[in-house]
Amino acid sequence: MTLIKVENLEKSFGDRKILNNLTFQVLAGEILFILGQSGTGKSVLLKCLVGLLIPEKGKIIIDQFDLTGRLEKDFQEVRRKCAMVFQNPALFDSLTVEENIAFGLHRLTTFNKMEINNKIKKAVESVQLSIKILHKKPNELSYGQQKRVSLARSLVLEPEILLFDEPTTGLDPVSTTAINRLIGYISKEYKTTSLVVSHDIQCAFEIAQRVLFLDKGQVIYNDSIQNIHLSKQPLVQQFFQEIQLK
Amino acid sequence: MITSILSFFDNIGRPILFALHLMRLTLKLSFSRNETFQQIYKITINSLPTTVMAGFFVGAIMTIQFTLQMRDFGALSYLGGLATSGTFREVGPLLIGFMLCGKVGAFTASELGTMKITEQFDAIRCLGADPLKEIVIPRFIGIIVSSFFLLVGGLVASVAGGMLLGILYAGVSADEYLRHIPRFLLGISILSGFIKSLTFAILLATICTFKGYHVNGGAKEVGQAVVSTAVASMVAIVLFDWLTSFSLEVVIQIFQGFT
Repeated sequence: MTLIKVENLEKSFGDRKILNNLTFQVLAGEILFILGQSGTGKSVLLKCLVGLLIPEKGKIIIDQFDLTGRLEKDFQEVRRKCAMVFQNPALFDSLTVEENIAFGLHRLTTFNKMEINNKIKKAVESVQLSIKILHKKPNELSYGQQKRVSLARSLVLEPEILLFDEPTTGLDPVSTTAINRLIGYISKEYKTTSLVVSHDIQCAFEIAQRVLFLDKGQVIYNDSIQNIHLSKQPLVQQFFQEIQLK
Repeated sequence: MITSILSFFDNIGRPILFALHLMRLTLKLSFSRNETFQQIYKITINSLPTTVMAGFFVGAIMTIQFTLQMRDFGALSYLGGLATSGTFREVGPLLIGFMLCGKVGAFTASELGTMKITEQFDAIRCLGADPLKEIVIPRFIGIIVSSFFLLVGGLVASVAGGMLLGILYAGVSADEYLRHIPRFLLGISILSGFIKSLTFAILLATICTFKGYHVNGGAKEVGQAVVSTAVASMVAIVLFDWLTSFSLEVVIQIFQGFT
Protein backbone atom coordinates (compact mmCIF):
# COMPACT_ATOMS: atom_id res chain seq x y z
CA MET A 1 0.00 0.00 0.00
CA THR A 2 1.30 3.44 -0.94
CA LEU A 3 1.60 5.61 2.15
CA ILE A 4 3.38 8.66 0.73
CA LYS A 5 2.87 9.96 -2.77
CA VAL A 6 4.94 12.88 -4.08
CA GLU A 7 4.10 14.23 -7.53
CA ASN A 8 5.97 16.86 -9.55
CA LEU A 9 7.17 18.67 -6.44
CA GLU A 10 8.95 22.00 -6.92
CA LYS A 11 10.51 24.23 -4.29
CA SER A 12 12.78 27.24 -4.81
CA PHE A 13 14.64 29.64 -2.56
CA GLY A 14 14.99 32.89 -4.49
CA ASP A 15 16.32 32.03 -7.93
CA ARG A 16 17.61 28.65 -6.79
CA LYS A 17 15.39 25.70 -7.59
CA ILE A 18 15.96 23.11 -4.88
CA LEU A 19 13.32 20.52 -5.78
CA ASN A 20 12.66 20.15 -9.47
CA ASN A 21 9.70 18.10 -10.62
CA LEU A 22 10.28 15.45 -7.97
CA THR A 23 8.08 12.37 -8.11
CA PHE A 24 8.21 9.20 -6.02
CA GLN A 25 6.14 6.95 -3.78
CA VAL A 26 6.80 5.23 -0.48
CA LEU A 27 5.15 1.99 0.56
CA ALA A 28 3.86 1.34 4.07
CA GLY A 29 6.49 -0.26 6.32
CA GLU A 30 9.34 0.56 3.98
CA ILE A 31 12.74 1.92 5.01
CA LEU A 32 13.67 4.39 2.28
CA PHE A 33 17.08 6.02 2.23
CA ILE A 34 17.36 9.37 0.48
CA LEU A 35 20.93 9.89 -0.64
CA GLY A 36 22.64 12.68 -2.48
CA GLN A 37 25.21 15.41 -2.23
CA SER A 38 24.76 18.39 0.09
CA GLY A 39 22.33 20.98 -1.24
CA THR A 40 20.36 18.61 -3.44
CA GLY A 41 17.14 19.19 -1.52
CA LYS A 42 16.99 16.13 0.75
CA SER A 43 16.22 18.02 3.97
CA VAL A 44 13.94 20.42 2.08
CA LEU A 45 11.95 17.43 0.86
CA LEU A 46 11.45 16.13 4.42
CA LYS A 47 10.38 19.59 5.62
CA CYS A 48 7.85 19.77 2.78
CA LEU A 49 6.42 16.42 3.87
CA VAL A 50 5.52 17.76 7.35
CA GLY A 51 4.47 21.21 6.18
CA LEU A 52 7.46 23.09 7.60
CA LEU A 53 8.09 24.32 4.06
CA ILE A 54 5.41 24.85 1.45
CA PRO A 55 6.28 23.79 -2.12
CA GLU A 56 5.39 26.07 -5.02
CA LYS A 57 4.15 23.28 -7.25
CA GLY A 58 3.25 19.63 -7.03
CA LYS A 59 1.34 17.38 -4.75
CA ILE A 60 2.09 15.52 -1.52
CA ILE A 61 -0.39 12.91 -0.34
CA ILE A 62 0.25 11.22 3.01
CA ASP A 63 -2.07 8.35 3.87
CA GLN A 64 -4.72 9.75 1.51
CA PHE A 65 -4.43 13.23 3.06
CA ASP A 66 -3.59 15.78 0.39
CA LEU A 67 -1.31 18.50 1.75
CA THR A 68 -1.77 20.84 -1.21
CA GLY A 69 -3.02 24.29 -0.25
CA ARG A 70 -3.40 23.45 3.42
CA LEU A 71 -3.09 25.97 6.26
CA GLU A 72 -0.76 25.57 9.27
CA LYS A 73 -3.57 24.24 11.51
CA ASP A 74 -4.40 21.52 8.95
CA PHE A 75 -0.92 20.04 9.27
CA GLN A 76 -1.59 18.88 12.86
CA GLU A 77 -3.17 15.71 11.51
CA VAL A 78 -0.12 15.00 9.33
CA ARG A 79 2.29 15.74 12.18
CA ARG A 80 0.45 13.28 14.40
CA LYS A 81 1.13 10.55 11.82
CA CYS A 82 4.47 11.76 10.56
CA ALA A 83 7.19 12.58 13.12
CA MET A 84 10.51 14.12 12.24
CA VAL A 85 13.92 13.62 13.82
CA PHE A 86 16.05 16.64 13.02
CA GLN A 87 19.69 16.92 12.07
CA ASN A 88 20.28 18.77 15.36
CA PRO A 89 18.78 17.13 18.45
CA ALA A 90 16.60 20.30 18.69
CA LEU A 91 15.77 19.63 22.35
CA PHE A 92 14.33 22.45 24.42
CA ASP A 93 17.05 23.57 26.82
CA SER A 94 14.74 24.85 29.53
CA LEU A 95 12.85 21.55 29.80
CA THR A 96 13.96 18.25 31.31
CA VAL A 97 14.32 15.14 29.15
CA GLU A 98 10.94 13.94 30.43
CA GLU A 99 9.25 17.26 29.59
CA ASN A 100 10.91 17.26 26.17
CA ILE A 101 9.56 13.81 25.38
CA ALA A 102 6.11 14.64 26.76
CA PHE A 103 5.90 17.93 24.81
CA GLY A 104 4.16 16.47 21.75
CA LEU A 105 1.96 14.13 23.79
CA HIS A 106 0.47 17.06 25.70
CA ARG A 107 -0.30 18.93 22.51
CA LEU A 108 -1.27 16.26 20.01
CA THR A 109 -2.94 13.61 22.16
CA THR A 110 -5.48 13.31 24.96
CA PHE A 111 -3.67 10.71 27.09
CA ASN A 112 -3.84 11.04 30.88
CA LYS A 113 -0.77 11.54 33.08
CA MET A 114 -0.28 7.85 33.81
CA GLU A 115 -0.52 6.88 30.15
CA ILE A 116 1.94 9.63 29.25
CA ASN A 117 4.42 8.41 31.89
CA ASN A 118 4.19 4.85 30.59
CA LYS A 119 4.69 5.95 27.01
CA ILE A 120 7.71 8.05 27.96
CA LYS A 121 9.33 5.11 29.76
CA LYS A 122 8.68 2.82 26.79
CA ALA A 123 10.12 5.34 24.34
CA VAL A 124 13.22 5.92 26.47
CA GLU A 125 13.83 2.18 26.75
CA SER A 126 13.30 1.76 22.99
CA VAL A 127 16.13 4.17 22.26
CA GLN A 128 18.29 2.28 24.75
CA LEU A 129 18.58 5.01 27.36
CA SER A 130 18.22 4.70 31.11
CA ILE A 131 15.12 6.22 32.74
CA LYS A 132 17.54 7.87 35.17
CA ILE A 133 18.14 10.59 32.59
CA LEU A 134 14.49 11.67 32.57
CA HIS A 135 15.05 14.43 35.12
CA LYS A 136 18.21 15.73 33.51
CA LYS A 137 18.40 18.79 31.29
CA PRO A 138 19.59 18.34 27.66
CA ASN A 139 22.88 20.09 28.36
CA GLU A 140 23.74 17.40 30.92
CA LEU A 141 23.66 14.73 28.20
CA SER A 142 26.21 13.76 25.58
CA TYR A 143 25.44 14.60 21.94
CA GLY A 144 24.68 10.95 21.21
CA GLN A 145 22.26 10.79 24.14
CA GLN A 146 20.59 14.00 22.96
CA LYS A 147 20.06 12.42 19.54
CA ARG A 148 18.44 9.41 21.20
CA VAL A 149 16.18 11.64 23.30
CA SER A 150 15.21 13.48 20.13
CA LEU A 151 14.32 10.11 18.59
CA ALA A 152 12.34 9.14 21.71
CA ARG A 153 10.43 12.45 21.50
CA SER A 154 9.29 11.55 18.00
CA LEU A 155 8.76 7.88 18.79
CA VAL A 156 6.53 8.52 21.79
CA LEU A 157 3.83 9.82 19.45
CA GLU A 158 3.75 6.36 17.86
CA PRO A 159 3.80 7.81 14.36
CA GLU A 160 3.14 5.77 11.24
CA ILE A 161 5.96 7.55 9.46
CA LEU A 162 9.36 8.57 10.83
CA LEU A 163 11.47 11.09 8.96
CA PHE A 164 15.15 11.18 9.84
CA ASP A 165 17.20 14.14 8.69
CA GLU A 166 20.85 13.07 8.77
CA PRO A 167 20.45 11.31 12.12
CA THR A 168 24.13 10.48 12.52
CA THR A 169 25.66 13.89 11.77
CA GLY A 170 28.23 14.86 14.38
CA LEU A 171 28.42 11.41 15.96
CA ASP A 172 31.46 9.20 16.40
CA PRO A 173 31.59 5.94 14.35
CA VAL A 174 30.42 3.78 17.27
CA SER A 175 27.40 6.00 17.99
CA THR A 176 26.71 6.24 14.25
CA THR A 177 26.46 2.46 13.95
CA ALA A 178 24.32 2.31 17.10
CA ILE A 179 21.88 4.95 15.81
CA ASN A 180 21.68 3.32 12.39
CA ARG A 181 20.85 -0.05 13.95
CA LEU A 182 18.35 1.67 16.21
CA ILE A 183 16.56 3.07 13.16
CA GLY A 184 16.30 -0.44 11.72
CA TYR A 185 15.15 -1.87 15.06
CA ILE A 186 12.52 0.84 15.64
CA SER A 187 11.14 0.52 12.13
CA LYS A 188 10.54 -3.16 12.73
CA GLU A 189 9.42 -2.89 16.35
CA TYR A 190 6.98 0.01 15.84
CA LYS A 191 6.12 -1.04 12.26
CA THR A 192 6.84 2.46 11.01
CA THR A 193 7.61 3.65 7.53
CA SER A 194 10.98 5.38 7.68
CA LEU A 195 12.51 7.95 5.36
CA VAL A 196 16.16 8.50 6.18
CA VAL A 197 18.12 11.37 4.68
CA SER A 198 21.75 10.45 4.91
CA HIS A 199 25.19 10.50 3.31
CA ASP A 200 25.95 7.16 4.90
CA ILE A 201 25.71 4.65 2.04
CA GLN A 202 27.22 1.94 4.23
CA CYS A 203 24.30 2.26 6.60
CA ALA A 204 21.93 2.19 3.62
CA PHE A 205 23.38 -1.22 2.74
CA GLU A 206 22.63 -2.41 6.28
CA ILE A 207 19.03 -1.29 6.75
CA ALA A 208 17.56 0.34 3.62
CA GLN A 209 15.01 -1.51 1.55
CA ARG A 210 15.09 1.07 -1.19
CA VAL A 211 17.24 4.05 -2.11
CA LEU A 212 16.23 7.33 -3.65
CA PHE A 213 19.20 9.19 -5.04
CA LEU A 214 18.68 12.92 -5.57
CA ASP A 215 20.69 15.27 -7.74
CA LYS A 216 19.72 18.90 -8.40
CA GLY A 217 16.30 18.30 -6.91
CA GLN A 218 15.51 15.33 -9.14
CA VAL A 219 15.45 11.58 -8.63
CA ILE A 220 18.32 9.94 -10.51
CA TYR A 221 18.06 6.52 -8.90
CA ASN A 222 15.04 4.82 -7.34
CA ASP A 223 15.59 1.14 -6.67
CA SER A 224 16.85 -1.33 -4.10
CA ILE A 225 20.26 -0.76 -2.54
CA GLN A 226 21.45 -4.11 -3.90
CA ASN A 227 21.05 -2.90 -7.49
CA ILE A 228 22.86 0.38 -6.94
CA HIS A 229 26.01 -0.90 -8.69
CA LEU A 230 23.95 -1.34 -11.87
CA SER A 231 23.12 2.36 -12.09
CA LYS A 232 24.67 4.19 -15.03
CA GLN A 233 24.41 7.58 -13.32
CA PRO A 234 27.98 8.88 -12.74
CA LEU A 235 27.11 10.39 -9.35
CA VAL A 236 25.53 7.18 -8.08
CA GLN A 237 28.54 5.22 -9.33
CA GLN A 238 30.82 7.67 -7.55
CA PHE A 239 28.95 7.10 -4.25
CA PHE A 240 29.11 3.34 -4.79
CA GLN A 241 32.86 3.48 -5.50
CA GLU A 242 33.38 5.40 -2.26
CA ILE A 243 31.87 2.56 -0.27
CA GLN A 244 33.98 0.03 -2.14
CA LEU A 245 37.12 2.01 -1.31
CA LYS A 246 36.19 1.96 2.38
CA MET B 1 16.89 54.93 -4.44
CA ILE B 2 13.33 53.57 -4.49
CA THR B 3 14.65 50.19 -3.33
CA SER B 4 16.39 51.88 -0.38
CA ILE B 5 13.21 53.73 0.60
CA LEU B 6 11.17 50.55 0.34
CA SER B 7 13.79 48.67 2.34
CA PHE B 8 13.70 51.38 5.04
CA PHE B 9 9.92 51.11 5.41
CA ASP B 10 10.16 47.32 5.26
CA ASN B 11 12.68 47.35 8.14
CA ILE B 12 10.32 49.47 10.23
CA GLY B 13 7.03 47.96 9.11
CA ARG B 14 7.83 44.28 9.60
CA PRO B 15 8.74 44.58 13.32
CA ILE B 16 5.59 46.68 13.88
CA LEU B 17 3.41 44.03 12.22
CA PHE B 18 5.24 41.34 14.18
CA ALA B 19 4.61 43.18 17.47
CA LEU B 20 0.93 43.69 16.60
CA HIS B 21 0.61 39.98 15.85
CA LEU B 22 2.23 39.12 19.20
CA MET B 23 -0.07 41.56 21.02
CA ARG B 24 -3.11 40.05 19.29
CA LEU B 25 -2.09 36.55 20.42
CA THR B 26 -1.38 37.92 23.91
CA LEU B 27 -4.86 39.45 24.16
CA LYS B 28 -6.37 36.13 23.07
CA LEU B 29 -4.43 34.61 26.01
CA SER B 30 -3.09 31.98 23.64
CA PHE B 31 0.43 31.63 25.00
CA SER B 32 2.27 29.51 27.54
CA ARG B 33 1.47 31.08 30.94
CA ASN B 34 3.93 28.90 32.82
CA GLU B 35 6.81 29.87 30.55
CA THR B 36 5.76 33.54 30.78
CA PHE B 37 5.96 33.54 34.60
CA GLN B 38 9.31 31.79 34.40
CA GLN B 39 10.58 34.45 32.01
CA ILE B 40 9.35 37.32 34.21
CA TYR B 41 11.03 35.73 37.22
CA LYS B 42 14.24 34.93 35.36
CA ILE B 43 14.65 38.35 33.73
CA THR B 44 13.83 40.20 36.97
CA ILE B 45 16.11 38.12 39.18
CA ASN B 46 19.00 38.03 36.72
CA SER B 47 18.91 41.75 35.95
CA LEU B 48 17.95 43.18 39.34
CA PRO B 49 21.48 43.32 40.85
CA THR B 50 22.86 45.13 37.80
CA THR B 51 19.89 47.51 37.65
CA VAL B 52 20.05 48.28 41.36
CA MET B 53 23.77 48.94 41.12
CA ALA B 54 23.29 51.18 38.09
CA GLY B 55 20.39 52.98 39.79
CA PHE B 56 22.49 53.55 42.89
CA PHE B 57 25.28 55.19 40.92
CA VAL B 58 22.90 57.19 38.73
CA GLY B 59 21.38 58.67 41.89
CA ALA B 60 24.89 59.39 43.15
CA ILE B 61 25.92 61.07 39.88
CA MET B 62 22.79 63.18 39.77
CA THR B 63 23.44 64.35 43.34
CA ILE B 64 27.02 65.34 42.50
CA GLN B 65 25.90 67.25 39.40
CA PHE B 66 23.12 69.11 41.21
CA THR B 67 25.39 69.84 44.20
CA LEU B 68 27.84 71.68 41.93
CA GLN B 69 25.05 73.93 40.64
CA MET B 70 23.04 74.42 43.82
CA ARG B 71 25.86 75.11 46.22
CA ASP B 72 26.40 78.51 44.53
CA PHE B 73 22.77 79.41 45.13
CA GLY B 74 22.72 78.16 48.69
CA ALA B 75 19.83 75.87 47.82
CA LEU B 76 21.31 72.54 48.91
CA SER B 77 18.22 71.72 50.95
CA TYR B 78 16.38 71.19 47.64
CA LEU B 79 19.08 68.77 46.42
CA GLY B 80 17.14 65.59 47.19
CA GLY B 81 13.97 66.79 45.48
CA LEU B 82 15.64 67.96 42.28
CA ALA B 83 18.04 65.04 41.90
CA THR B 84 15.29 62.49 42.55
CA SER B 85 12.79 64.19 40.23
CA GLY B 86 15.36 64.26 37.40
CA THR B 87 16.24 60.63 37.94
CA PHE B 88 12.63 59.44 38.08
CA ARG B 89 11.53 61.38 35.02
CA GLU B 90 14.44 60.98 32.67
CA VAL B 91 17.72 59.38 33.61
CA GLY B 92 16.38 56.32 35.43
CA PRO B 93 14.10 54.96 32.69
CA LEU B 94 16.65 55.79 29.98
CA LEU B 95 19.54 54.12 31.73
CA ILE B 96 17.53 51.06 32.70
CA GLY B 97 16.32 50.86 29.10
CA PHE B 98 19.91 50.90 27.85
CA MET B 99 20.95 48.29 30.39
CA LEU B 100 18.11 46.01 29.33
CA CYS B 101 19.18 46.43 25.69
CA GLY B 102 22.65 45.18 26.44
CA LYS B 103 21.64 42.45 28.85
CA VAL B 104 18.15 41.13 28.14
CA GLY B 105 17.72 42.27 24.53
CA ALA B 106 21.00 40.83 23.28
CA PHE B 107 20.46 37.63 25.26
CA THR B 108 16.92 37.13 23.95
CA ALA B 109 17.94 37.78 20.33
CA SER B 110 20.79 35.29 20.59
CA GLU B 111 18.65 32.71 22.42
CA LEU B 112 15.85 32.87 19.84
CA GLY B 113 18.34 32.98 16.95
CA THR B 114 20.13 29.90 18.24
CA MET B 115 16.82 28.09 18.71
CA LYS B 116 15.92 28.95 15.14
CA ILE B 117 19.15 27.74 13.56
CA THR B 118 19.20 24.55 15.64
CA GLU B 119 15.71 23.74 14.33
CA GLN B 120 14.02 23.99 17.75
CA PHE B 121 11.20 26.09 16.27
CA ASP B 122 10.67 23.49 13.54
CA ALA B 123 10.62 20.78 16.21
CA ILE B 124 7.99 22.72 18.18
CA ARG B 125 5.81 23.00 15.07
CA CYS B 126 6.25 19.29 14.36
CA LEU B 127 5.12 18.54 17.91
CA GLY B 128 1.85 20.39 17.39
CA ALA B 129 2.68 23.75 18.96
CA ASP B 130 3.35 27.29 17.78
CA PRO B 131 6.82 28.67 18.60
CA LEU B 132 5.35 32.17 18.85
CA LYS B 133 2.99 31.09 21.63
CA GLU B 134 5.40 28.74 23.36
CA ILE B 135 8.66 30.66 23.16
CA VAL B 136 8.40 34.19 21.73
CA ILE B 137 5.38 35.67 23.53
CA PRO B 138 6.57 34.57 27.00
CA ARG B 139 9.83 36.45 26.36
CA PHE B 140 8.00 39.44 24.87
CA ILE B 141 5.74 39.73 27.94
CA GLY B 142 8.61 38.82 30.27
CA ILE B 143 10.69 41.79 29.14
CA ILE B 144 7.78 44.25 29.41
CA VAL B 145 6.57 43.11 32.85
CA SER B 146 10.01 42.67 34.39
CA SER B 147 11.08 46.13 33.20
CA PHE B 148 8.50 47.53 35.63
CA PHE B 149 10.02 45.67 38.60
CA LEU B 150 13.52 46.58 37.46
CA LEU B 151 12.56 50.23 37.16
CA VAL B 152 11.15 50.24 40.70
CA GLY B 153 14.31 48.55 42.02
CA GLY B 154 16.57 50.91 40.09
CA LEU B 155 14.73 54.03 41.19
CA VAL B 156 14.66 53.03 44.87
CA ALA B 157 18.42 52.38 44.65
CA SER B 158 18.90 55.75 42.95
CA VAL B 159 17.31 57.52 45.94
CA ALA B 160 19.61 55.60 48.27
CA GLY B 161 22.67 56.41 46.12
CA GLY B 162 21.69 60.06 45.85
CA MET B 163 21.09 60.33 49.57
CA LEU B 164 24.42 58.73 50.45
CA LEU B 165 26.31 61.15 48.24
CA GLY B 166 24.14 63.98 49.55
CA ILE B 167 25.37 63.17 53.05
CA LEU B 168 29.00 62.40 52.17
CA TYR B 169 29.64 64.94 49.40
CA ALA B 170 27.15 67.78 49.84
CA GLY B 171 26.96 67.64 53.64
CA VAL B 172 23.15 67.46 53.63
CA SER B 173 21.46 65.37 56.31
CA ALA B 174 19.33 62.37 55.32
CA ASP B 175 16.25 64.07 56.71
CA GLU B 176 16.91 67.22 54.71
CA TYR B 177 17.61 65.24 51.54
CA LEU B 178 14.36 63.29 51.79
CA ARG B 179 12.16 66.14 53.05
CA HIS B 180 11.81 67.96 49.70
CA ILE B 181 11.41 64.89 47.53
CA PRO B 182 7.56 64.88 47.73
CA ARG B 183 7.53 68.57 46.80
CA PHE B 184 9.46 68.07 43.54
CA LEU B 185 8.53 64.51 42.74
CA LEU B 186 4.99 65.00 41.52
CA GLY B 187 2.69 62.22 40.42
CA ILE B 188 3.23 63.28 36.82
CA SER B 189 7.00 62.77 37.20
CA ILE B 190 6.50 59.22 38.40
CA LEU B 191 3.90 58.56 35.71
CA SER B 192 6.21 60.03 33.07
CA GLY B 193 9.03 57.70 34.18
CA PHE B 194 6.78 54.66 34.04
CA ILE B 195 5.31 55.58 30.64
CA LYS B 196 8.82 55.99 29.26
CA SER B 197 9.97 52.74 30.78
CA LEU B 198 6.96 50.89 29.35
CA THR B 199 7.58 52.41 25.90
CA PHE B 200 11.26 51.42 25.99
CA ALA B 201 10.38 47.89 27.15
CA ILE B 202 7.86 47.41 24.31
CA LEU B 203 10.44 48.68 21.80
CA LEU B 204 13.14 46.41 23.15
CA ALA B 205 10.85 43.36 23.39
CA THR B 206 9.69 43.90 19.80
CA ILE B 207 13.15 44.41 18.34
CA CYS B 208 14.91 41.56 20.11
CA THR B 209 12.17 38.97 19.53
CA PHE B 210 11.79 40.05 15.90
CA LYS B 211 15.52 39.93 15.19
CA GLY B 212 15.99 36.61 17.00
CA TYR B 213 12.95 34.92 15.48
CA HIS B 214 13.92 35.88 11.94
CA VAL B 215 17.54 34.69 12.00
CA ASN B 216 18.41 32.58 9.00
CA GLY B 217 21.73 30.86 8.49
CA GLY B 218 24.26 30.03 11.18
CA ALA B 219 26.33 31.38 14.05
CA LYS B 220 27.41 34.45 12.07
CA GLU B 221 23.80 35.50 11.49
CA VAL B 222 23.00 35.02 15.19
CA GLY B 223 25.90 37.36 16.00
CA GLN B 224 24.60 39.88 13.49
CA ALA B 225 21.13 39.68 15.04
CA VAL B 226 22.58 40.39 18.50
CA VAL B 227 24.52 43.41 17.29
CA SER B 228 21.62 44.80 15.28
CA THR B 229 19.29 44.28 18.26
CA ALA B 230 21.60 46.29 20.51
CA VAL B 231 22.06 49.08 17.97
CA ALA B 232 18.45 49.28 16.79
CA SER B 233 16.95 49.17 20.26
CA MET B 234 19.31 51.85 21.62
CA VAL B 235 18.58 54.15 18.68
CA ALA B 236 14.85 53.48 19.04
CA ILE B 237 14.99 54.20 22.78
CA VAL B 238 16.74 57.54 22.24
CA LEU B 239 14.24 58.53 19.54
CA PHE B 240 11.26 57.52 21.64
CA ASP B 241 12.74 59.20 24.70
CA TRP B 242 12.62 62.46 22.82
CA LEU B 243 9.14 61.68 21.49
CA THR B 244 7.69 60.72 24.88
CA SER B 245 9.35 63.69 26.63
CA PHE B 246 7.90 66.03 24.04
CA SER B 247 4.45 64.41 24.08
CA LEU B 248 4.26 64.31 27.88
CA GLU B 249 5.32 67.95 28.07
CA VAL B 250 2.51 68.88 25.65
CA VAL B 251 0.02 66.84 27.70
CA ILE B 252 1.17 68.52 30.92
CA GLN B 253 0.84 71.98 29.30
CA ILE B 254 -2.66 71.17 28.12
CA PHE B 255 -3.56 69.72 31.52
CA GLN B 256 -2.23 72.80 33.32
CA GLY B 257 -4.10 75.05 30.89
CA PHE B 258 -7.38 73.47 31.94
CA THR B 259 -6.72 73.82 35.69
